[in-house]
Amino acid sequence: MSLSLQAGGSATRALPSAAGTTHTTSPITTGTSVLAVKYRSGVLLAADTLVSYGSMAKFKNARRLLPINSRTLIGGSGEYSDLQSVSDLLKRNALEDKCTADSLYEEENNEECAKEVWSYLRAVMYNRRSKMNPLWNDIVVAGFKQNDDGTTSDEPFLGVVDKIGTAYEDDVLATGFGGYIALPLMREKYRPDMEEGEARALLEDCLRILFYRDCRALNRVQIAKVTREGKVLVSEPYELDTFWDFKGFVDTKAGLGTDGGW
Amino acid sequence: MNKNIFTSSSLILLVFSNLVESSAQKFDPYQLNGGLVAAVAGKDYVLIASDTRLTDGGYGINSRRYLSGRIWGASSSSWEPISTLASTQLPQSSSPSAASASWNVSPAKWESDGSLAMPLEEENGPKRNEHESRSLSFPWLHFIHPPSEAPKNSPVFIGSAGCASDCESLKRRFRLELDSLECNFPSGLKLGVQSIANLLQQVLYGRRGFPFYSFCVVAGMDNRDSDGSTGAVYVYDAIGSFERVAVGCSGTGRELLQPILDRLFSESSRNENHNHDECDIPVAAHRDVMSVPAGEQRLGVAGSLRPPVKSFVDCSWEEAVTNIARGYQSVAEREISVGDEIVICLLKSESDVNNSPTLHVISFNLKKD
Amino acid sequence: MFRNMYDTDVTVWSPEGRLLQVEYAMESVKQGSACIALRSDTHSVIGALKRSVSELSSHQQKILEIDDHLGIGIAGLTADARTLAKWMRNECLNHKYVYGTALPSGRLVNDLADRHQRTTQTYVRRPYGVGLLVASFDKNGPHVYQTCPSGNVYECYASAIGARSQSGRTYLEKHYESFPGCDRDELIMHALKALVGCVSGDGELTSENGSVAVVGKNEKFTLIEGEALQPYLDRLELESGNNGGENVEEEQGGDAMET
Repeated sequence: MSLSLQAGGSATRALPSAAGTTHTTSPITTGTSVLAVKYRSGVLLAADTLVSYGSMAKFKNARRLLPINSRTLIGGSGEYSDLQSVSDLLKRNALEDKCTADSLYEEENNEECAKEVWSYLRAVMYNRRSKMNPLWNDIVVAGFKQNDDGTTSDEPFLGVVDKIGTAYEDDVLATGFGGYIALPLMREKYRPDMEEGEARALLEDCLRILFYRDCRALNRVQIAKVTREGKVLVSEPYELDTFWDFKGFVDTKAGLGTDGGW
Repeated sequence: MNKNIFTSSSLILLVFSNLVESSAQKFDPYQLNGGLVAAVAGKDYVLIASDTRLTDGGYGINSRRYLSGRIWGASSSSWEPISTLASTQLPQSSSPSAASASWNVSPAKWESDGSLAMPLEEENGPKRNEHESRSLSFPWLHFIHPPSEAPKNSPVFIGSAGCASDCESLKRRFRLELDSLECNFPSGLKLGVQSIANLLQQVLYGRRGFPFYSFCVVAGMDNRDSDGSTGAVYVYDAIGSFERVAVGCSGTGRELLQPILDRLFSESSRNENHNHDECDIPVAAHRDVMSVPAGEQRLGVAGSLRPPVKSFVDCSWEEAVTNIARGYQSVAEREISVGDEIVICLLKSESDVNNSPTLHVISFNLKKD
Repeated sequence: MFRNMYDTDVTVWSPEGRLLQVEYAMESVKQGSACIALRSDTHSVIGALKRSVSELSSHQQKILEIDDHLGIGIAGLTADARTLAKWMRNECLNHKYVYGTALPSGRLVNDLADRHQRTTQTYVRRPYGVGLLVASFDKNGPHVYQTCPSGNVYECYASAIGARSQSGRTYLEKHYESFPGCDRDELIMHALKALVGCVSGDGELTSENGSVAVVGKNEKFTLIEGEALQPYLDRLELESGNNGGENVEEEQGGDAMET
């Protein structure tokens, strides 16, 4: 049934078409968790830089936090090639917006806001899952909401889309293994009025715990933020200090003569 | 001969590899993200409720404050958002039932896509609204009388639970159909609740081959009767079968909630002349109190029988809210996908305020574990 | 009219390098009744003169709502405009479906221009015989665009199209510098004053044949017609004992085209 007319024009921009007929039924090269939290003046994202090929640590400097336009940031876990294709798609749209801005106004805000990117991404992911050819990612979208008159609102936006198109917003988000280990910790510590330093410390703690516990995680990480002034900053990868001198780690039997330790 | 062997062996190989592939992890386009929606039709009100837990299909909780795909308005985008309600934390004692519960009236906001924005924590402090007044019987509830220019027709709500991505897509699909219908009638076509119910059936059935895993209820005021408007509630399955009921629920844990609500509301509907003894086990009625005796069944339009059960409950809205809250509390005890919070949208027709209904949004804490 | 050899199809060039079919389509815009649009820093307004076929018939719609934030005024073939309006409505709905927000008007008019252009390059098809004035308020503020059958699109501070629109245009050109600061009602008054000059010699601007629409900050697209327009017309009468567009240029009013 279609009471409405066919979709067309630029309102439905071309979604990435399936090449051939081989559909991804399981991911091959994967990135693990992305963590995200709102704080007093923006949104902070964190992820490590490891992409695994099964259990092999394949790429150790892969960036999974990507700025899409001057006000929007995405972070992706799951199949890395799919993430790159999504990021290409979004950047292509952003470039088109920039190039076709043709107006009497000196426009700065022809770009899509984070919520539009998130909403669009939901449609892309849902369409692909409906063709049984999913993009195997959980993608976090961060930025600021937009007022009706187009000015950037003071309210930060944080949303996530998964591979079947489930989309939701929240104050704290974690994808992948982080959903089990980091999310409860972040929910406990989260306050809406957190300072940036506090939020960053929280994310780093969670990344460290994930590195200890998630076999597909790395201590080489990136932090990225979107701020109220409309800045998107992604840090260069850096290494977290880790502490391996716990007795249980050092002594295989934990000094107990039983099967403690590892 | 050789060639034959080759082909047959390759055939076997093919079959085998197919078997291997199908037994391997296969992509599942569905996920049941929890969520339980319920609706109650009263004589002059209708209410719709949902919990706000979004699970990952298993033991994980994706979000504790998910609402945008659960309860949404089924009217055109030009529908004015209802003003925010003041937020008040209620004193424990004034809670009508369920002593441990804390009630609050939420500052709710309707977004342009029809979804009800999850009420924020009271960080901004209560925002008072000029249209606000207080009920005598429930002094802690704030009422919003819609501004005078509010549309004559009352909003219709749809509650959907199941696969969250399907629910969201259903919402967009449905609102697209609705908008495209309406923009072909620039003079302003407004669908009543029964038309909305039919349209939802069509949208759901349109995906018969690859169904939306969204289990819906529709709630609105039915204005067809000459003697004022009554509440109307419809419940659906995933592919569009539906019926009109007085009390309905859909989603994860509906098997738990429906009998509880049936019992609670049939007691509420019975005249309240049973005494409140200390040992008060109400005797089960020898027949369903919601059923309409054969002699009183009326013929409906086009000669069809009206449903042989009542299509609305007799109790007051306060009692209905209480019953819903108790029902959800019970389900949350045993169903892990239901919890965190419930949000109740109550639409009440006010005969005194130029016949336009008022909307109240009430939230209620459930188990967080 | 002399017969031209090079106007048999839209894809045929004349030796002077012109597409005569396209130019004819542009002419049909001039046959339509006048339509003007202008904007301030907060609002966009469309004004139009409606025609009726006879005393007994209703006046034809000249301003069409596309979405809450956008509407069009038309001059030329009404039927073509309806087709385009339907398409534009659909674009807006689709954008809302995918992005959850209103379609930026710049993107819509550019796609609309592409749609016009396609017909000028395709054998057998004919160009749309309608010019549109698009008034919108989107995330960048108020906009006014003018589109032509040729596929051109211009963003303007103010513009007028249709029969006898020259006087309206002259009025707008004379006053456009004061528009940005105008509030909603002042802008509507400017629209009506520009429109008065476009009325044909013996007629006058009434609440029947006048039509105004406004869209702006905190205001959805609203059509002001009939009763609702009367207060503005009263004010117009009060304010303009003498003025209005005086330099009326008589153009050929055409009854050949139903507009």
